[in-house]
Amino acid sequence: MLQLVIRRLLGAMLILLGVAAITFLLLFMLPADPAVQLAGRSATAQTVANIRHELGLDRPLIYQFLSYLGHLATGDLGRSYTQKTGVTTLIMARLPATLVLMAAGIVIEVTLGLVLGIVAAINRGGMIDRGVMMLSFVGVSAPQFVVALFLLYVFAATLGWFPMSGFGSLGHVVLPATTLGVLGAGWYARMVRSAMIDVLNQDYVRTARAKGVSEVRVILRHAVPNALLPIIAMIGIDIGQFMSGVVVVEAVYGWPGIGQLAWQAIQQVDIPIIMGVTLISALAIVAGNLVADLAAPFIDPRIRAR
Amino acid sequence: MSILSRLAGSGPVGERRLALFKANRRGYWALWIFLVLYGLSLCAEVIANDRPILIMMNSRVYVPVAVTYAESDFGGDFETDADYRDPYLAKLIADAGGRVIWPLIPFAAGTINRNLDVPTPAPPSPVNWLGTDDQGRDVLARLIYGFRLSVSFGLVLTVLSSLVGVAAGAVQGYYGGLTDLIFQRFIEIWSGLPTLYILIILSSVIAPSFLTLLAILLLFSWMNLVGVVRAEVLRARNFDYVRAARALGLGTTRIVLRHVLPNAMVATLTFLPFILSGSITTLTSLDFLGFGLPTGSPSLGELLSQGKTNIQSPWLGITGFLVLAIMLSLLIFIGEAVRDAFDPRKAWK
Repeated sequence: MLQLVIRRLLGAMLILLGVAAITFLLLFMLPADPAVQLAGRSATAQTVANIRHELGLDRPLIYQFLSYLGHLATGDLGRSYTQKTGVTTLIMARLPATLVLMAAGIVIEVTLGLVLGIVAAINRGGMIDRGVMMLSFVGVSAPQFVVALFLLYVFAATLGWFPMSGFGSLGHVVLPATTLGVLGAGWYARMVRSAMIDVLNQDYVRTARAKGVSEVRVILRHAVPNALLPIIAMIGIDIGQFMSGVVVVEAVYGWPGIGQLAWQAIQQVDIPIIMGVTLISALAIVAGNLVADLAAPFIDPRIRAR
Repeated sequence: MSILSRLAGSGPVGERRLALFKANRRGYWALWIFLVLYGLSLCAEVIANDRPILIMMNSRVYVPVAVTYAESDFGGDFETDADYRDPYLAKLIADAGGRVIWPLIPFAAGTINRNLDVPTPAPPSPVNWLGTDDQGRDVLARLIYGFRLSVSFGLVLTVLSSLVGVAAGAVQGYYGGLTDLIFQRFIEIWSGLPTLYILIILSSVIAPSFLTLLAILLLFSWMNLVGVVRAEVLRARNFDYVRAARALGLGTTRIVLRHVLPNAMVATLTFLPFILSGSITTLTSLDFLGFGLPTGSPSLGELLSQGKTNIQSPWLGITGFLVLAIMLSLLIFIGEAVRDAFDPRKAWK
């Protein structure tokens, strides 16, 4: 078990290194020159050259990459070109907002998915089942920003229950988190439903019913825990997905997280920030997948036995 | 429908698949509706245009849709291109007893309706059936052109990414070993990249055009198919008839193309509608964020982002929402029908 964990961790490190290399190369191959961007329109060639030297952009690419990695090893993501602050500080200032949004999104998707999936499985074939499946179909196939617009229009502009955008109170979290969670909720509802239907047909469930256990207890105590297994692995993958998907939601709702930070940085060709945010997102994706892989044996004794 | 039967495969299995596909009423109708809509949007110039289809005047027939005429051709003063929406020109033609046949919607995607008596975005009216956007352009006309652009883009992207994906999967699966290992690690890294960030970074710096955007999205969309094709090829490369072909001394290219890849066709085909809808969604997201097709191009994403900025004009958002929802639902219905039709558990019964 320990060996597996170590092997997976090493693999994850290598993947991150690869991601860093690719992003680095990609950003330096871009035709946009941050030095020109910083110097402004009326700068002389000398000024641009000075800025370039100051930022270390005139050194060979491989040297720049290695020195970046060196700093990275100590947790230093470099300094922002435009904001003159450490990227680590900038990201740390924005990360909590994004994490709050992600956590709320996961809570919503799991609750919604579980409840809908269980209800659909119990009423299998009935109107409720069909309604839930239709709803989950919509949730799965609608693009995030369309869901965002729909929620904004109905619950913020028309009904006025929640604020349009911003950050601060609990009310601000509801719409962005729902937007983030709807897609996953659709998937989860479908997965829970089919897992529940499988489990409800098992012998031990029939035994439980035969010995007179109440239906509520059969479902909650005997069936649901087994239907939960696939979901827990999925949550890990979702953590990674959310980190990158959050940029659209943050843009629509004006949420001050790392998506917005990256957004501004992209417009100003602030390469250190872009690199930093990309790496953090990649870290989330890799870590999420790792958690998903490693969580399975902990939860399911059948996998551990092998 | 001969293309359908070609895709389904030959022999009884193919017939069975075709029958299964047709038996899925929802998917079958979705395919037809989608084809008709796309076919209509391909003729967008004749349906929605700011140039009349025909003008009959002074016993001559003009075809403004296809030919550019100067204003002086109709008795005007200048050699400039005729603006058929100009009341002056309309009067000239009417005075000469000319007859004008307009398209159903007398606006093109970029035509600005200057005769609005309400501030833009104007609500739906008998002139602009679905209203106008915030620059006074007809929403319906932009929808038709935007639908064509989105679907065409999606189709090209789907074809290209399946070609690349199938090729990559085939190379991996057929050679196996070290090639496979290196490719797998590369794909692992590539899928660790936060796609949307990279797409935004690239398209914000490289001036977006139809082709550059296609190339940028292709960077990530090819990965959809690699896994499935690789698995199928890994399985098929040791089939007896493939080994026989190798023993007979056939070239690798021929073995892969003729004997191995057809096994992966089913898996590929069932993925295509989903890749198409995924491509369209990604393009729309980028358009919505303002990093998509060049500014001014008619697109669903642009319409939706206008719907967001002008939330007091619900016809913009609702129209974009409905069209996108219908388009994606049709594609998913088709996809489900194809997937069920190709499911061996059903096709062999």
